[in-house]
Parts: sequence; C-alpha cells; structure tokens
Amino acid sequence: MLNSRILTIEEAAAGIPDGSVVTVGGFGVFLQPMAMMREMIRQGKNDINLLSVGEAYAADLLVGGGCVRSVTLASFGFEAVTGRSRNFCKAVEQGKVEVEDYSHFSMASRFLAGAMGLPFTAVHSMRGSDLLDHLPEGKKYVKMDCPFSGEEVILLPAAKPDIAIIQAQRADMDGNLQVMGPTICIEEQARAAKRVIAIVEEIVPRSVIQANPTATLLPSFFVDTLVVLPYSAHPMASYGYYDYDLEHLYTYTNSSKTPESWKGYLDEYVYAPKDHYEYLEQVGGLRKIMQLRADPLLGY
Amino acid sequence: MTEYTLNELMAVNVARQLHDDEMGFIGVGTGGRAFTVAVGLPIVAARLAQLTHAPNFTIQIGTIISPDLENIPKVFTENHITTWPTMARVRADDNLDMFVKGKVDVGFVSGPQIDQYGNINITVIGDYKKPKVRLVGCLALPEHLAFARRAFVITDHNARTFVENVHFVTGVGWQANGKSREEYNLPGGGPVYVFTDLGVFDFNGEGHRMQALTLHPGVTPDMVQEKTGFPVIIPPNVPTSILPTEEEIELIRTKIDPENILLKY
Amino acid sequence: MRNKVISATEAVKAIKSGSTLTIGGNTIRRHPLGLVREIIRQEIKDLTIYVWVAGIDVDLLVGAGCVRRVEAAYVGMGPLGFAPNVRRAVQEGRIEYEDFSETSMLARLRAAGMGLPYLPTKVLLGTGMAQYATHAKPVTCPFTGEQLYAVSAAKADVAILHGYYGDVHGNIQWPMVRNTDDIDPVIAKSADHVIFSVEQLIDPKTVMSNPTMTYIPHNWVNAVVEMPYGAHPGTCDGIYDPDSRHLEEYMEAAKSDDTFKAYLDKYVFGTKDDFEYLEQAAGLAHLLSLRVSH
Repeated sequence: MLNSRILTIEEAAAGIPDGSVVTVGGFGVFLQPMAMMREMIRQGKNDINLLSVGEAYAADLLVGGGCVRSVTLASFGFEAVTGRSRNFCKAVEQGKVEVEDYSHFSMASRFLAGAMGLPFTAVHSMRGSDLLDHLPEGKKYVKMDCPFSGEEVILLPAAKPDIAIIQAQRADMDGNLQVMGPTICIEEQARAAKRVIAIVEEIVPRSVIQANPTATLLPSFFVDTLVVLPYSAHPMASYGYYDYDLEHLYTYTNSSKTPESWKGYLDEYVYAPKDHYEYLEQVGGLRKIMQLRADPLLGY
Repeated sequence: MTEYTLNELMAVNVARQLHDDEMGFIGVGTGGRAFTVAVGLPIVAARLAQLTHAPNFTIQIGTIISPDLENIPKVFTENHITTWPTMARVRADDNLDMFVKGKVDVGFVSGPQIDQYGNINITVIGDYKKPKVRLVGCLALPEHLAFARRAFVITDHNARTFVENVHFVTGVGWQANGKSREEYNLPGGGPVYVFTDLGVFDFNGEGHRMQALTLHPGVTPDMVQEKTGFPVIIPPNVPTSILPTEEEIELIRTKIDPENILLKY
Repeated sequence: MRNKVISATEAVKAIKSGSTLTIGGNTIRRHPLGLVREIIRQEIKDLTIYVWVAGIDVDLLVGAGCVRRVEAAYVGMGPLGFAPNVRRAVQEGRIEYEDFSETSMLARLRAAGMGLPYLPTKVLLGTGMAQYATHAKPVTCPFTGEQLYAVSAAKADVAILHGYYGDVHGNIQWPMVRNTDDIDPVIAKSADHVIFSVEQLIDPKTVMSNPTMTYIPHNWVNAVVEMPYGAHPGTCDGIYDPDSRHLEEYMEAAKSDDTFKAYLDKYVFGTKDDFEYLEQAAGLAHLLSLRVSH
C-alpha cells in the first residue's frame, strides 16, 4: 500500500543519492517539480546526471544550484520569458557540466525504449545532423541498415534513469496518479525509471479517480513515493490548478544574468525559506497564489 | 438473553414505530449526547427499519434527500456531509414548502424543555425579553410539530427537561395557551411518541397529557415520576418496552454503526 | 453590462448606520465574513439584521456592537453550540431579538423578494413567537375563513452574501458538489442593493459555457468583491473546511466582552484588509490545509 510511502518533500529528496541518474518531468511553462528542485539544492545534492527532454526551468534551477554533473537533453529554451537558460548555458561554457545533445524525438524515443524494457530504440532523427558528430559512435549511437527494409536507421541506447521526479495534479492514497493538460513525456520518463517520486497538489478519494479513469497516467504500481504539496510546481503552471507566475519568471531570468544576482536569488528563494510555505510567502504569499488560481473551464 | 446498550434499546423502539414507505426528517445536532439523540439515534432507527420491516422507509437530513445509508460518513463534519452520496440535494426553500404541505411523515425532534402537553421550548429559559438563558431560537421545530404527520421526540429523561409548562412555546403540542391543537387547526399530527432513557411515552393520557406507553426493563413508576416535573400518567401494569432481538443488535453493531459513531454518546 | 468588481472597502460604504441588512449563509457555512469584518472595521452601527439560519456572521456583528436588532429563525454556531455574543447580548437586554420559525422567516424574506407587503403562514399559531412578534399579526383567510398569521416583508436596504464563483458582471455560479442548505437566492432577491463576495472571479466565457450553474444572474447584483477564503473561519462547502483551530479561539474569545474586544483588536481592527486578516488568523500553510478535494 502506498500510503505508508507518502513522504514529506524533505524526506523524498533525502532519498535521492548524489550521483544518481535522474529524469524530471515537465516542459515549457508546465508542470515541473520546482519545489523538489529547490529542496535538492537546499540539501546540497551533488553530481546529479540529468536525462532530460525539455524541462528547461527545472534543469536550469538545479544546475544553477550546483547539483548537476552532466545533462543529456533535447532543448532548454525558456518559454514565456524568451531567452537562454543562462545557468545551464554558463555551466556548459565554463566546463562545469558535461552535455550530450539529442533531438527531441530521440530523447522521447530513448525513454520509450526504457519504458518497454528494451535495450535500444531506432530513429530516423539526427541523420545527417551535426549532433551525431558529437556523440561517440558505437557508444551513444549506432548506424545500422534495417534487416528488413535495408534503409539506414540510427540506434540509440534506452534511457533508464535511477529516479524519475514527476510533478502531477493529484493521486489517491494508493498512488494512482492523474495528470491534466499536456503530459509531454511524463509517462515514458516514469516508466523507464527504476523508481518514481511523484509530487501532487492533493490527494483525492478513490471515487474521484474512478470517475475520471482516462486521466490516470500512472497506476499506483508505477509510483514509489508520493509527496503532497500545494503549489509545488510554482513558478510553473499546474493545469487545472494554477497558472505560471510570469512575474517570478522574470525575477528568475533577470537574476541569472550575473553570479552575484544569481546568488541573491538562491539566498532569497531557496536557502532562506525554511520550507515550501515560506517560499510561497516570499514570492507573494496568499495574495499571489490566489491570483494564480486557474479558471475552472480554461484550466489556467 | 440478548445483551444491548440503552442507546440500542431506544433505537429499536423508535425503529419499530416507523412504517414502510414513510419519509423521516432528521435535523442537525451539535456534539456529544445532543448529536446522538438528534441525529445518530434517528439514523440508526431509520436504517434498522429499512433493513427489517420497512424496506421503503427513507430519510431526509435537512435538504439531503435519501442519503445512502450503506455509506454513512465516519465523521459528521462539513465536507463529509457535503459529499455524502445521496439521491438529491434540494434548495432549502423548496424543501421547507414541501414540509409545510405535509410531505414529512415522521419528524424527529428534541429540546431542552418539554411539557405535559408536548409543547417544546428551544427559545428561552425565563422571560422572553430578558431571558435567564437565551437558547437557539426556533429552527424548524415549529414546523415539525405543526406539519409533520407524526413527530417523534427523543431526549433524556430529567425534571429540568420535563416541566409542567414550558417557558415559551416554540412548537405546539396538544394544548397551548388554553387552546387545543384542533382549535388551532394545525394540519400535522403533532408529537405522538416521546422516547427517553426511561421508556416510551405518548399523549393519550386524559386531556392529551403525557402518558407512559412502555417502561424500559428495571424502570419503576417512581423512578419516572422523580425525573418528571409534572404528574406523569402511568397506567397500572404498564408493559415493558420492546427488547432488541439478536438480529437487530447484530445489524446495529456490524452493519449500521460498526464504528460506534452514531450511538457513541 | 459593466464591470461590477470593487474592493470590500468600497462595497461596504453602501451600508449605512441605522439601516437594515440581510446576510446569506447558514450557521458556520458560507457567510460573507470578509465583508462582515469590513463592516466592523468601518464602525457601522445600529443595524437591524434579517437572517434565516445564521451563525458566526451575526455573532461577530453583535459582539462588535454593530447591531440594534435581530430577526431570525436561528442564530447559533451549529456543531459548536450557542452563538456566545448573541446569547450574552440578549440575556443582558442589549439587543432586541424577534424569533421566527424557518418557514415564517422564509415567508418574510420571500414577501420582500416578491414585492409584497406580507405573506400568510400557519406555523405561528399557538406559539410564543406569535405572542411577542411585532411583525406577525393574526388574520382571517378571506376565502376559507381559517385563522392564519400575516408576517411582514423583511426587506433590507442591503444584502451581503458569499458566492462560490462569479464573473465581473455579477453572475454568480455554484459548483456541482455543494451543500444546498441555505436560502441565498431568496436573500439575494429580498434586498434593494446586493453585494456578493466570491471565492474566485472566473471568465465570463466560463460562465456562458455552463449557464445552469448561474444561480444569481448579474441583473440581481450591484457589486462583486473577490475574497478568497472570504467565509473564513467558516467553511465554503466544496472548497475548504471550517478552520476548527481558529473557531476554537473565537469561541473562547467570545465568552466575555473584554476577551472579544481583544479578538477584534487583533484580527479586525488590527488588519487593514481580509488578506491581512487571513495571514494573522490562519497563515498560508494552514489555509491550504483546509482545502477539500475537487
């Protein structure tokens, strides 16, 4: 039964060993486990290897917090607030973080292979692209002639993270997890991982889950740890619950311009608040989070 | 000999008086014993009747029409009541209209003062304008006694409750301010039974005064009189109250109130 | 159709001392307590209150000395027992109180909403309420000759209510899952000027996608105030549970005039708006923990 494994965010983060291979769900302005990223930074995590798709804000924050050794990604551009994910880019430019680039579909496909328990996947993506020039052939990809059709395909190794950190809307006490709005690669990322930590806004009765079965993205046996924490995606959006906090995204990206301002951001929003609720007070408190509430029809 | 608690004895006696195809109206209660007599006990009685001799008996708890008695909330707090599965949740004004029109067959009532004619006071102790104790007001108690086909009173038996004359007539019993129920032309049946921890009473005594119908085992007429503030009519050879059967106790303890929430206090 | 959204401070200016006020909600559920606190802050006095089954709303106003007279079917704190300030004020003769049963008070509010001077009722026959009420008079039915009571219309200058969702035009919607034990639509119809506080402002398109959920159309409403947790410390059914922790503090404070004055100084006079009140009285983490699942 999962309900014995409902942990606080502090406990869940404590269970992530340094050096883990981690994948984080979400994309663009949606559904990234930002509170978990903040907690990981607070706990001083080191040498995390990120297997990513496009969860730019989460990855940028974790890299900015000094927790990351390597990133395998498809794309990290900031939505809503245009521009580069500065913390990530600088870390790569300064040689602090190793990077491996794949195309978007390639990463999705690698996770799918991992989810299916297969050792590799086949794609047409990246053929003729410079991306392949930077991935060691034989280790990170193999060019092969299809044994059936004879056409050239690219084989990529399955993505098999140790831990998937998934931000979702709600679950029941057993961990049947429902995600609303764009699900992106969340399902594949979670199923490919050895262990899943899911962070939700609320626990709902089983009858609510049963009334909406198609929203159940991950049945309970895919969820190992459940954390219940309202507004834990902030400043990202949680569809059906709250919109993204544009004002805070500007604060974030502006502060990542210089090392001093970035340190200031971390001090104010990550290290000073003793918990997630104090963080919410810092970003505007009750007034702000009430403003961010989603319209019941529009979902944002 | 089936072993039973006092609450179970009272619940069974209430249940036996409920008829098939009737609708009972249960109000709200505060906590502790007040909850038990106003809400918990009537719910148990209703469900027991449903499971035994009156399968079509149903209840409304205020505006909650026919809640699922297979799924009684474990806690009677706000959200549990709001989400209790039920057939209908009607608007309160529509609900009250139907009450006045005569749609309530059994009204369950209680109150801090009841007199020998079944008048009930939940408004003031003492003078109306400057009361010694200001009570809750009226709620729908007047409606219960004026319009329900039968009103069932459930309360504990003591001389503070059972007074000769209520200080204020919130709900009219059989005679109030010198006039009879018939003279007021109230459409409902008025209070027909009073269920207490000492026995079951009705108002078939002379002049429609309160009279013992049955006394619980071990209860003597003297014990009743001591706890009543007016002369209670107790017929000679008054029968003992209906005793619960093994089946009824089994139903209460395993099916209806297995976690002892409704009959706890 | 204009934008009717204003602040609580602005909205409450429509309520004058000495006027009549009717309030929505039931015991500890969905009262416009944010607006009530603003009435207290603006030191409005001598109000005559028409309510049906009321609770902490009236208890707060009576405890703050804003009330001259109450006409009601019930004022109490539901599961928590008696309304402490009201009880004390009546026992000490400091306010006038006129009792009506649920259907007779409903009749009075309905008469007002129907533009009638009174409605007849049977329920008061033989009761103490009939003896003492100034707003109930015995009448004979002109058709059947039976004895009835006429109860006068309870027409308030202003109605204040708390709704679930509303748009800028004043359309008020309820959710699928709610507690229906209130007569808010009747109360809204009864008064001349209607102010709704709402938990959340929603898009007019959202309202139009689900028009049967509009229980109060915009043409009945004069002002809308967005007040999340505006029923605190009571419950807003389907959205958050009552704040038992604060209610316990309230019940303790309301035991005497002195302790209640201290409560008001801290939570009402000491806060400039309802957000400040909520931060003082509950705090963000606690408020979020009161939410009930969708």
